[in-house]
Amino acid sequence: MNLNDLCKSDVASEPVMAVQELLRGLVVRTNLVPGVRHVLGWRGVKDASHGAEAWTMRIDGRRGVYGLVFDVMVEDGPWRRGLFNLCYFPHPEEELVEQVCVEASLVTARSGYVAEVRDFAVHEHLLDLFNIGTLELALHTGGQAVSVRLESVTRQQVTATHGVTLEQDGQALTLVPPGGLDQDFPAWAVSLDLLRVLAASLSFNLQRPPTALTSAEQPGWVRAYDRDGGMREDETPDNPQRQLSLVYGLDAGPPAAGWQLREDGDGEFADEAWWSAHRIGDFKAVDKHALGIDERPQLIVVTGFLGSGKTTFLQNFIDHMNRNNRFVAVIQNEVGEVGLDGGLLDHDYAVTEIDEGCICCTLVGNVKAALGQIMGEFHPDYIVLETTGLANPLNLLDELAEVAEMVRFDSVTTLVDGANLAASLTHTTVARDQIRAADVVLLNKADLLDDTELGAVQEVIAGINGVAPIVPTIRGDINPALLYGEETATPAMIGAEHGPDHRHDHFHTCKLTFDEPLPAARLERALDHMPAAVFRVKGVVRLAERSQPQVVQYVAGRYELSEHPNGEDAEADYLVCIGRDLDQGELAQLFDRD
Amino acid sequence: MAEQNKQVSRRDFLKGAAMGAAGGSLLAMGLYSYSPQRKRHFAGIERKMADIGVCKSIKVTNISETSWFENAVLMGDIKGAGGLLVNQYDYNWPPFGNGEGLGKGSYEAGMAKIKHLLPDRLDEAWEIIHANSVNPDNAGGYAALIELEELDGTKRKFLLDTGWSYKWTEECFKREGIDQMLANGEIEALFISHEHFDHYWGLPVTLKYAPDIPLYIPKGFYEEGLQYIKDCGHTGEVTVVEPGLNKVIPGFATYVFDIPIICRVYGEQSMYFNVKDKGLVSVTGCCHQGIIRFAETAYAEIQYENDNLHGIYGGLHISPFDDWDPKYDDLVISLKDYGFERIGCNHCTGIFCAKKFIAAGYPVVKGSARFRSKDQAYLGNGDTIAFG
Repeated sequence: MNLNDLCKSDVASEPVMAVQELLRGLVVRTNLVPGVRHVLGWRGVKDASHGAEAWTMRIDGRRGVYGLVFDVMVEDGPWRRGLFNLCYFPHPEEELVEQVCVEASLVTARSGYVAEVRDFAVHEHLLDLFNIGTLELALHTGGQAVSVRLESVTRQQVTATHGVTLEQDGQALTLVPPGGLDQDFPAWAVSLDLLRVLAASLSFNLQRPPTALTSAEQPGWVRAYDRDGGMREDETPDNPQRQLSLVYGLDAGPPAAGWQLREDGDGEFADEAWWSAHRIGDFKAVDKHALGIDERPQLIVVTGFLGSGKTTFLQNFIDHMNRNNRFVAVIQNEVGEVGLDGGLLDHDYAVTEIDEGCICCTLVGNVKAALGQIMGEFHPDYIVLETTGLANPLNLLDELAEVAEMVRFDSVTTLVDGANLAASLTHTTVARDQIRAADVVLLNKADLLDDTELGAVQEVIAGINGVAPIVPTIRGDINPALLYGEETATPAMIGAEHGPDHRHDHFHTCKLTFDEPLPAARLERALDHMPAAVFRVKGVVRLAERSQPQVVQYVAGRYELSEHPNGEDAEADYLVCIGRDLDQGELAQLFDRD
Repeated sequence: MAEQNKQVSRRDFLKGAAMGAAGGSLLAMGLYSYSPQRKRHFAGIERKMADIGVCKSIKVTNISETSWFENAVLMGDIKGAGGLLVNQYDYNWPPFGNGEGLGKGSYEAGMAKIKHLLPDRLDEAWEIIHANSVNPDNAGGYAALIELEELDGTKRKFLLDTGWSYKWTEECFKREGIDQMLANGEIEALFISHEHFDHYWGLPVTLKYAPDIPLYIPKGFYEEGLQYIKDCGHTGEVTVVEPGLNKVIPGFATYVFDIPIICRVYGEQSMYFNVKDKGLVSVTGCCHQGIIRFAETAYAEIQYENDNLHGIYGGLHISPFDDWDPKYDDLVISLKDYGFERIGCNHCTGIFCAKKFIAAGYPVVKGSARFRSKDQAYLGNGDTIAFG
């Protein structure tokens, strides 16, 4: 069991250090590798330690932020148990805000909320209001054994005997009726989601599955308070406290004093990822695709008129990627820009370096062949296809359809020189095509425009492309994570407001909306039968069979569905189609029947 | 007022309320808030204020910050060998080449070819290494000379890290006169920041000139790294620095962060100097622990002049993780929070990032872009920076 890569402290002599080091090692080592952390469910971490070890993190399927902070170390026979306070900080707009206590929900609406959450361990009120359970990491003094344990009450329930009424604009608004629940938080369910990620990560790092699982419970509690501050707490078996332990390296012992084993302890957790996550361990041998790791690099098309600031944007992009240990290949698709000597080429591309952080190539041959060669030699994580000069990106998109199984097509980013847009639109048609092809438009040089001018330029752009979000930037400086997700599409990419049909040179976008969730088979059949004239479809739909909305990304005959990162809160049930000579009615009909 | 009070959802209510930063008057209304069932020890921020003494000044000479010359080649090697968790000794990188190709190396096989030549016959060793390793010409290395001036004016010299390529490291040592300083016994000790190839594998070059130099390594070295010390012919004392604060001489302490690092490495040792009237100066190899932990540790552990973070030098690989909020994942913003007054950055900082620091008006000391350092935004090879 590979404990040595996670924690090197001697448990017996330095248990307090060791258990904190274990959490740190677990979070850090797992998050070093982008593909692994993603498939295990991590969606970003931030070190929040001040003295005591503390981390904030987001995971797949939950919109809020979890916090873990070391509380105390307990000796339990040969085990040294590190207890960590587990908190959940809901996203201000998510449903769970309704289920924390009213005071907590007020905190989520404060403008300083996110900043405080990022440093939650030093804000005592956050620990009070948002604690949902205890996570324990334990080490065995006898040798190589580790355990992780979660304890939490099924629901944190507090009744407001006299209700909660607050005033707004002279009106009394009842937030909680008398006798209603001030707090009704599904603490166990929310805690368990984090445990899944931590346990799967533990299995991955230790390169073995758990050897024992113990699921136990004891009666929980419900509370009630009245307006005089009196508080009652009643024990109840109907809202049990639950405990789940996973041990690595030893058999399970009996449950701790006071806890009873749950019936069907094994069955409930038979399909969890922690039983198989260790198989990702041997990177060279394993079939990553079978384990859900998509190793295809992401392909981003970057286009923009001369002087729009593409180079600065790319430098920023590459720099950001490098710092996160991601490797970028930039491909220019125009021969002649670089002054090539044709004789040196036995590849479909020629390498010239742009910067220290990437390789830059120029296409001289077939797109597909070049990509294959570049990927084989450099294994990039991201491929940026930069259309230079006067290339029409719409033509390029058709070519990209050929390479869908090699790369994950993400999006088209168009940079626009905010100060000179009018001129470029007057002189060429390419500038218009570049905007039309965009999934996101970066309105660069925003610092040179005042508010009126900015608004005017945005209107012009929106008139050409009603779908793409327009993001003002200065010197192309924007965190790429805001534009490009690790999934095939991010919330930023699926545009907010959708305009009416556009008819310009037979090029349309049109939007389909759905009143009800679609059966998966019907969606797939519709996508399989898309007319050839449709080269892009993207949107978010709810399927009848799944609770999580699915992001749909379709490019020229190939498509992918993936779970929307915002989970159930995602704006859903629309598809935007882009192509030539589209017929809205005909497309809508595709989705009407199975 | 209606009998039947309107019931609203909290989120709708909150949208109508002007919550602002403090939450307005609502939070003063005495809503019940309750602590969880167990009384918790709330630490807040406790400062230990360890006294590490004071020095008059320090000067850092960048012996080399160009750990490798082509990032594309290096990253291609890492990915080709299987990724960021693969053991660095298995890559078949110099000096541990067995001729079998990328990802098929081992410490033992590589060392077997050159051990008899270390540390005195490095040119011959490098010829063998060159013939058997993957991309040997891409190897450079990281090393820095620190000259500390004590309060009474006495000057003391220390070496941080010892490069990678034997050939490149020797070249740099000769250029800066490090070889002679070592041979004369002027350099009191070699501190290794972490076991990474570009900071540690050039060890024989230091030992060629000072085989008995005291060596300080962070706890966390793997077997191969510990064996290397012996195989390179080190005859002096080795101190394995435990995680936490390690006082060296007045005004100089190191701190070991026990944390996993890419390429199967563990633990990083960073340097802290307390400069009179100025404040704390930090010198790092790569700052793999992240700037947050680095600066918070200084704040929590050490007492320093004027309670001021004065300066920083080194590779500022500041945020190794994906932040869950991209809006905050901005190096330029994070660095500002700490208020450094003098910054010398290079190596894994990122040239574009360094330029953004400069554009943002941060007090970056620029370099001269000589000896294969790529840009003046970096404090480059052969450049110096003084604090105090």
